[in-house]
Amino acid sequence: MALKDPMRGGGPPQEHRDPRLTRLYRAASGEEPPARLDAAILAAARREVGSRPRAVGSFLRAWRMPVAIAAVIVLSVSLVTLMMEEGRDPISEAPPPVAPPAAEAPVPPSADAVKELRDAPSKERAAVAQPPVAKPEPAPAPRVSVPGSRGLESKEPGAPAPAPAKTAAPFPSAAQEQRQADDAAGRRALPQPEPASAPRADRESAPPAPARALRAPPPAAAPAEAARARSEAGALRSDRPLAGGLQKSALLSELEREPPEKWLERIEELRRQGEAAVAGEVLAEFKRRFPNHPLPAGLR
Amino acid sequence: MSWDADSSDEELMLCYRDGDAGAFDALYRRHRGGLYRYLLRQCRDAGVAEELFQDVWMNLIRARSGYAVTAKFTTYLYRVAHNRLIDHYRKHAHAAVASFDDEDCEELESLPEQRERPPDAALDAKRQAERLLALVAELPDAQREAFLLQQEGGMSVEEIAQATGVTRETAKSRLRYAMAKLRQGMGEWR
Repeated sequence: MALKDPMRGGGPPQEHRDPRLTRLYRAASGEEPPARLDAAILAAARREVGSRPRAVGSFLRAWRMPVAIAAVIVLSVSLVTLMMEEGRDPISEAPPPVAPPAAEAPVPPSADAVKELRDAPSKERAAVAQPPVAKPEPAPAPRVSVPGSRGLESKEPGAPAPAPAKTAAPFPSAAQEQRQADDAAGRRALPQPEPASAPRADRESAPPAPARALRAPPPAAAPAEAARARSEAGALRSDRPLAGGLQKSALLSELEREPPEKWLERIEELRRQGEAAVAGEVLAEFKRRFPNHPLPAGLR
Repeated sequence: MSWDADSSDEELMLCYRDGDAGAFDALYRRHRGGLYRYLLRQCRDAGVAEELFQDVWMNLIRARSGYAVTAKFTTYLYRVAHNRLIDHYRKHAHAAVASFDDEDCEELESLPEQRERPPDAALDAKRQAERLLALVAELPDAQREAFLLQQEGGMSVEEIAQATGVTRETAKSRLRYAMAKLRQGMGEWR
């Protein structure tokens, strides 16, 4: 018997279907598994994953994303706020860069001063050994940075003094930072002196450090390193007349931001002009600032 | 991974694999009727069909952790059901095993005997449906399976071939003969 085959030749699934048969079959077949079977299978499925019914799961799913987004936003805002506050503090709450504490003026020679004496030419030793001039040196406004000032003010009296590098830095240039690092290294090598601001009598009967710090009032407890840096800066920038009519501070100000090569050129120039003494002082300062920089044969 | 009413079967099964029992609920409700009817018409015993039905779903539940999308979910589901059915046939020395193993492309002369034309030409749909179910029950097991997979599982010839483990041509032949017999059996009432 020849069979008219509608599916012959293959084709998409629709061509293998008979809509009338499908309609009739769907009308005829309505059997369903019993409810107890449904319950048993669904319970087994839940037991397998150890989860709760969908109501709870869907609730958690629905709120998981909004809660996560809200948490991220809150954390971000908090972080940004904190960062803004931290960044604003040194500018908005820093005390004026001038007006060092009164106790700063009569600073006795400190270990740094001794070091400076060792480094500086003999002509300048007398000036450095003298107590610095009480006249405060106003630092240039744009260069003033007092990152640790707020910490000093807000710290408890018993808190340890901050590191010298974080105290007042009137010359925040790279050369100055290098010099301060060198100074710190030198101080570590030398026997540790007492803080310069502490009176001698107090030092002799000094209790352990925390108690001593408690005794000193917070403003007067400015670290000796900060005072030393300020006194040193004052010494360098004081308009002491130097040999040949030149002023060392003017020269240093001029060379402060210059590269080492410029310093060497200037020293050579001074020598050529017959200002050997000034050239020697500048050279000494150059050696302090750039201890690792090679010197020309004529300057060694 | 989340799902909704429009999610595919495969997505639901993946969600269930990942621990979402709600996804299994949705998947089960989609396929419970079709799978049950497939098993019921193949084994022709409600009690056995329920047992096989539960076995198939339990196999699926136990295998959830290793599930990966390698084929359409219905193909996967009905292949499990087909294998379970074959096991049942073998266990009970059912003659259908031979039917599945042989190529049952008998001549169409061996169609079910012609029924008497009903006296009332306006036979209602219910009686037509009953007639169709009777014709389906009389089909050889392999042909009936192909027809049921198409109707209950919504599967194409290729998917039927995958689910039953035969070539596409074999599946197509079985389906073609099944449809021809059903059309011929119902033709007198058209």
